[in-house]
Amino acid sequence: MKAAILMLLVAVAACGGDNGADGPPDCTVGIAFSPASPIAGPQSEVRAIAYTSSVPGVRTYAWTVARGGASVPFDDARTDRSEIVFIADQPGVYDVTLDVAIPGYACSTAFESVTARASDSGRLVRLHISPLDGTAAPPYDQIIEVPDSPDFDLGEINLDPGTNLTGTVSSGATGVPAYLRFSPVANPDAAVEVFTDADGTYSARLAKVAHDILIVPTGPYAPRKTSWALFGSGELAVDGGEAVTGTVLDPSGAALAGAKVKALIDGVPSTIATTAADGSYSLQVSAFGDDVTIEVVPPLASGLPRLSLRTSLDLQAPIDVRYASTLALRDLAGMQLRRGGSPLAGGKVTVVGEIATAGTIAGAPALGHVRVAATANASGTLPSALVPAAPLDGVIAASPTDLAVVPLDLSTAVPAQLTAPSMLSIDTTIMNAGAGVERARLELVPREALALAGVSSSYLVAGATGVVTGQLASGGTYDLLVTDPAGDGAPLVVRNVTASNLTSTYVLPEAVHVSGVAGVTGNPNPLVGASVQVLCAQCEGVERARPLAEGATDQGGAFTLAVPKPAL
Amino acid sequence: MSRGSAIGCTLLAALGLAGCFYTDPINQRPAVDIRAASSDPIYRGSHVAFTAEAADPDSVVIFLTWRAYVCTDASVLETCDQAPFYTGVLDTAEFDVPILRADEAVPVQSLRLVLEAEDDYGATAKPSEELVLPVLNAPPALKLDKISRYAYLAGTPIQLFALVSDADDGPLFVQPLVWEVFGPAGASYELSELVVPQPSDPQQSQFGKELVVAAEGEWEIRVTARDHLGAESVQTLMIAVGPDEPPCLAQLTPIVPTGGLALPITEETLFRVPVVVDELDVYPPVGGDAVLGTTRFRWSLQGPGQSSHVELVGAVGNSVAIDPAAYTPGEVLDLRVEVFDRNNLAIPCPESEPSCASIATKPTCIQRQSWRVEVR
Repeated sequence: MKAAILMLLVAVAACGGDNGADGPPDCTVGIAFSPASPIAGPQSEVRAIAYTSSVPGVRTYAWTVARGGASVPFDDARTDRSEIVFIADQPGVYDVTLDVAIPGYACSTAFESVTARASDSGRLVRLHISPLDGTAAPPYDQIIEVPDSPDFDLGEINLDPGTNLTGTVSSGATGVPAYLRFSPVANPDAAVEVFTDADGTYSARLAKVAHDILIVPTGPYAPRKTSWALFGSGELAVDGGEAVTGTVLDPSGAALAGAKVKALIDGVPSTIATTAADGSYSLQVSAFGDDVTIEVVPPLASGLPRLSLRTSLDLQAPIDVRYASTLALRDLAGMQLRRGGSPLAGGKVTVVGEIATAGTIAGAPALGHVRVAATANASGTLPSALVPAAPLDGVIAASPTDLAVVPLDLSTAVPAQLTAPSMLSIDTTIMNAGAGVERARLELVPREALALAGVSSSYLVAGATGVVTGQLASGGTYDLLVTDPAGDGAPLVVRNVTASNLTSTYVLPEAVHVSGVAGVTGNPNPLVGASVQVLCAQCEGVERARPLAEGATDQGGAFTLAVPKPAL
Repeated sequence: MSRGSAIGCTLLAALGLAGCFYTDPINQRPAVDIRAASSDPIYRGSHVAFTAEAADPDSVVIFLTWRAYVCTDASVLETCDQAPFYTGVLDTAEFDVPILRADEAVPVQSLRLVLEAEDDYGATAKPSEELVLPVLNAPPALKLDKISRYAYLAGTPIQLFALVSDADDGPLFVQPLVWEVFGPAGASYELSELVVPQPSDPQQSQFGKELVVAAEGEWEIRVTARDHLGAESVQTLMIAVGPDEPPCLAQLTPIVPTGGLALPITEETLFRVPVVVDELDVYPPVGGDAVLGTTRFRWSLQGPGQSSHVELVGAVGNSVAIDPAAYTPGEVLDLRVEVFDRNNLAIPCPESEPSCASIATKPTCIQRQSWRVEVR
């Protein structure tokens, strides 16, 4: 499960300190849920995560899960049983208990609940408020349920001023510069990022809740994840971690030197290794986890695809990488880019695509990712560039804004020519409440081949009557994000738009105007100039960070955003 | 018989004196004078007070009678009302000067105040004390104010307000205001009517204008209010029209690395500018205001092996996604965002500077910022 998923730390069974003169010292036990607001369903997996105070010793976890008094089955999500997963197939309250045993400590039982909502995902969005730099409050991020009404006043929203955590990232006595991301266990989307100074010292304003901390140090130290509980120390130690080793072989079975190998373990990156002449590599990880992604990036000149595999691996054994012996390469040299019967002088082609069985990582099939760019000369002819022999796509750029996507099947041979169709003109009208939306803004977010080729979003603006004209790449696919600058209509998101399926009219959804007044608890002044965003609650990846609507608080701390009315 | 002769005979009778002499003591007239409580000019409608200073040589009781008349010219009795608007018998006369004469049409321009004194024996002060005072016409009261949603910039509307009252005749008798605009030499302007709300107090009226000036500098707004009798008030309002300053990057996400460090990214990451502060071209856009615009963004990237930033053509929004899959692990990129408004179309800092604050007095207002990004 990705790090971005929403979690809710419903409580921490706070103990801490000494448990009297005669008994063993207490420890702190807590449970977090991910996601925090699950939607009930047969595939609704809820992860319960154990948190204990930073006391030394081996932890033994004992869980129970029940709904309505009936036991609910669960599976271990980590080998140490510090996390479990269960299916919330029915709406209702799921009760979870956790006993943690640590030798020499008395840990109380944690008992917490998570409520699985009925399937109403259309109503749920995230409200994210980010104060200006210098404001003594960490970000605010909460799920809200949008009602079926024209206006939804959230009233006063008081941000927790939090607490200022200071500390040092160090290895032994040596301060280590690092990037730190503090993610509230209950709500990772309210993360706080900081960079340390050169001596490893840092200061971060955090909500008064438990946090996960991602530490990415500079130098030879392994990135790691740790946790921080309220009133805990800000001192963060890093070290070299554990070594993960292996070799990388090319399709012929020869060692592949100069390849980059990296791992992502439970969301924590490794160091980056480069294969030696014998194909061997050694990278450092902070710990051997369960959710492992291995990625191998061969030298560009090799023409080989990247390989990636996400699985559960025993990292203590060598992780050997082997390109498929059937993987052949083609050289684009001599292929001519053309348009309209003429050579496309200076045109650029980026060959992109995926190959299902490009090789193996630790014996498991690994996905191959192709992305090779070449620029034609004045006669439109490409230089030498090796590319896997496979059915791929070519993204041809006559200029940075003149693009075309064409199939490029290199399975058997390299075609003599690759013709780039012209951009396709589009014409559509943005409507709201029966009228064209003046200055409506369209963001065209590239998908598929265009996205693989690294094409940036482009923007179109409607005229006074709501009519938008522009051009789309032939063969290109986009996501269309339409916004009304006046905020009367709600933002519209249309997926998988092409020049051929673009409709003549798009009607903005009916809006719910979400309003509120933001402040900071204990501060009489309004929260001015803060960023206020409404985001997709169920999205993953970069879409989770792309606002559905955004605004800023005014001089009185007030805001109003138009969000789509939920589908009923 | 007068009071003095009776006393003389009585005394003589009591003394048993033979014969009688006669005296005729004369009751003398009281003397009276009017003193104004204030030396301030008297205006129509103003509240005034006068005091009688009366003395009787015989030290007997004096009875006073005040009568006040309003006139057009008190020196000509025919221009005064026949009936007094005020009468009184106390030592002090205190009243409001009428606005109009009895016909309720002609404005009062002078005041005739008559004070008569009569003692207990009927002797009166002669001549009666009479005071003729000019009654002035108060000029309208005028108060100016201004407001701008756009930081008083050239080319943007500035709303001007004038609150008028007239103590004697009310605001309805004020003639149309005269608005005059004085700006830097040769600078043009447009002044148009502005519909403004009226105050709840019926004694006040509010007027408005919308001013759009074409140049920076000091602008003086002079407003003259004149009532129907010609009294006028002049008020001025100074407006400092400043330059359209460059926009400021108010928020950036993710965090911008410092100290030579790089931001590690392991997955596609959206680099965003959630908030830009500017007088006119802000982000996020503000709807429903034709004057306000949207910040212009320019993104550029210095990739591995590149010596300078290359503009990401077409990326003119407030965000750019960077996918580490497009790069080799360990490579370092430099992603740069720059913001512009309608009048600030260039950034003065050298290309080599990762950030830029073009206003010397506002070092925290930056127009350029760069993320050093490490592909992990």
